[in-house]
Amino acid sequence: MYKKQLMFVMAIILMALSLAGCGGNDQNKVSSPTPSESESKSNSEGNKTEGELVIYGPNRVLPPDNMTELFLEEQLGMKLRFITVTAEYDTKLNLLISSGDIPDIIVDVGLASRNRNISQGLYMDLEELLNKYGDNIKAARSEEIFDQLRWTDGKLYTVNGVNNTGYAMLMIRKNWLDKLGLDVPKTLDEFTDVLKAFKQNNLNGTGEVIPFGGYNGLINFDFVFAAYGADPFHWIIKDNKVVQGAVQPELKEAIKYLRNLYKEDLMDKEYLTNDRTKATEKAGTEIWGAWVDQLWYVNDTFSAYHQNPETKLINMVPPKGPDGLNGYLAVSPPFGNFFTGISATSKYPEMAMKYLNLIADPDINLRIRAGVEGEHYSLEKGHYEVLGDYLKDNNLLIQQGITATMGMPFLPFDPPYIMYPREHDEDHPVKLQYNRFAAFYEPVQKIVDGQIGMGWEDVRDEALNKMIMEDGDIDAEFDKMVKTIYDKYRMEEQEKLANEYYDMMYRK
Amino acid sequence: MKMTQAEKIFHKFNHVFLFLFSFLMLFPVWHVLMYSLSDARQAMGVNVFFWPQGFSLTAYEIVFRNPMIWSAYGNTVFVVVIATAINLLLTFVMAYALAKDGLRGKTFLTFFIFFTMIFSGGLIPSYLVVKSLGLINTLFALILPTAVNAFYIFIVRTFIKAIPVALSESARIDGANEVIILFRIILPLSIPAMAVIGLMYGVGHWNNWILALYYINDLDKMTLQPILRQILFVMSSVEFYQHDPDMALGHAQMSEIVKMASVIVATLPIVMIYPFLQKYFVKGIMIGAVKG
Repeated sequence: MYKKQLMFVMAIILMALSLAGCGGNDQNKVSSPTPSESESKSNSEGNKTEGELVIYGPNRVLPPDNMTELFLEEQLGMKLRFITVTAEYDTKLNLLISSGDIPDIIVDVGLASRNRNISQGLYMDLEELLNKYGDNIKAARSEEIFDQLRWTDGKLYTVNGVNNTGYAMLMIRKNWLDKLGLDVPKTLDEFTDVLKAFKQNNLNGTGEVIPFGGYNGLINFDFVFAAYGADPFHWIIKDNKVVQGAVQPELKEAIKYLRNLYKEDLMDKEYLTNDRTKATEKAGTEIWGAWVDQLWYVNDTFSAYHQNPETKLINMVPPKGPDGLNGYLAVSPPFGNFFTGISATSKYPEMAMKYLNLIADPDINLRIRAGVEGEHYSLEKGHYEVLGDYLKDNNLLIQQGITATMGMPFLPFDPPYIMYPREHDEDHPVKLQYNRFAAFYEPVQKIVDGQIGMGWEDVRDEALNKMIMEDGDIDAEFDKMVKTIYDKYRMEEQEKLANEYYDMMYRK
Repeated sequence: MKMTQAEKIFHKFNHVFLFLFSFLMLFPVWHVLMYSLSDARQAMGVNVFFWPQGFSLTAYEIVFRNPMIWSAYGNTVFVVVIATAINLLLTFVMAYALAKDGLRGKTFLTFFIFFTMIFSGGLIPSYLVVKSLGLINTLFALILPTAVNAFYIFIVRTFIKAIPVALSESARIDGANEVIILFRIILPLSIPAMAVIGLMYGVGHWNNWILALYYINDLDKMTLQPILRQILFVMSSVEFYQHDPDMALGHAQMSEIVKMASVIVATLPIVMIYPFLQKYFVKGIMIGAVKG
């Protein structure tokens, strides 16, 4: 009896002790004081800042004291420490927050995580710091993106960490333009005139010239869609609402332009059936005068494209449409999946913003992604090749990992891209691509799962290709397609779900 | 004794059955090893094979060329050796104390230890305790918080209880103190149990990656499993090639053989140690069983 009572008392005591551990700080929120204007303390050596900037990022890591880290420290004038994990990302962040070791820069993975951390007061308002130190970051983003990133209180707590703008490159033969005394076209009308000139002059000596090549189907024409403010592949924001791009009337004008190219034999009529092999062959044997290529192919196909030593290819700025729009369609949400913020309790908010701005600089970006020309890579006659073992061992880590790991607003300056830098960039190359952008890439789960609307994309593809290739009234055919999509595939219901999803994820 | 016909048939059936069973147990390991030694493209699409498809050491090259792999190996060996030694010492001493009759507060102590098997403080309190001890980002964060396992204490306690009391009593009569009894009489007799527990502790520490993920921030202090995971993660990252099926496929193929090589790299040391402990393992496998 005595033992039972003793056991009972001990159990109570132990439970009480356990519950005591749950108490403590009443605040559920991370304390969020107004950011201090932390003065950068320079030591006697000049522009070095004491202390350490701690950056928390996901997934990939670089070896300690690696080239990239040392370079960034030298540029910034401050020691950097990266905490990266390949799993349990949120758990580790929660542990760091709970223990008070909150990193200065935090990369959130996914909107849900970002929203949660903002609502808990983890981040500081970046507006003032951006205006002071974030010129590179601002240059790479349009106002629409910043608007999308703002919280319900109107403040900007994070910048997007990955700005995935797609990897399309509109290639054109500069040597043909030079031969014809033509400038690189800047508008669609000029582009059409150039294609006609390619067609009329036997520039490859074989008589078989297809001015504008293509493969991969409709996606091949995404710069044309962008020029007309159309996007048949994504959900987009229009008049502050989420709508399906494929049923918007702007698409009609883009289709009309493409049909014109098709009818006048200015484009490859096999664009639906050409595959990568055929594309390389037609581009390599100078049948095509211009075509849309993908970033990651260009290095591998360099030799194939340059069979003629006189070949000079350039990556032209996508031509503008009648309303002055140009660019490419985004292939993922414009703010990607990574969001970078500066913690509200950071001792070095200014240095943190300077760091983010530093890695947003295109030259710095290239340096840390590709290394030093001549030492880590060669660019002989425009052909990019990795030198030595460092990048071979860490190439993937640098090219991919540095984006999210380093909490960096990502810019699509992959090393092969440097072979064909864009000509006549009037706008920042990244901003260029967001004249119309997708609200999100994967909308409501019900739609993704095919619970409603499954199969409508096939209707879209078939109808649009027919409109390009066949005769007929495009306006009528388009309206018929839209009606079918609405009636048969419950597009109205999809739009309702998409807006609800958007409100939930972005408008809170 | 001569076997009857039925016994002979049964005997042969036993042999066949056990051979098949052993094959089923061993073949997956063999398959993983062969896959890891194969060429990435040739191995893909082949479901079962007994030999490497196009012999290649590329997977191991990728794993071992990671500059952090050797420091990770060193850290892991350090943790396993030190932690296991501490584990065995503390477990053994505690188990002996609980096995002795007449220990004051034994019931409470037993209950207290048992209580920790059912309830734990949770992740954040544990992290805060480790942090308050100044162990964050040190290898001892992987050693001290897991210094003793309650379940293993009870297993060893049960084993020690089965040792005749007369042995320690006679040693006491001869003038031995408790320490001498513990380490010169009880410990040698407990070697089978300790070997089993040691193996379990050692394997547990070798495979542990989650604690390293939580407590270690610097890469040069990271242990093997998180580093292997990172290698695998990078190899499996096809999202960079999401628009290029060919490159994505090539990457996926390579990631498969690297995955297999990682398994071999992670398990080989343990497999190599096991034969030395096998005899103790066999002896100790029935520890904790009800004795008649």
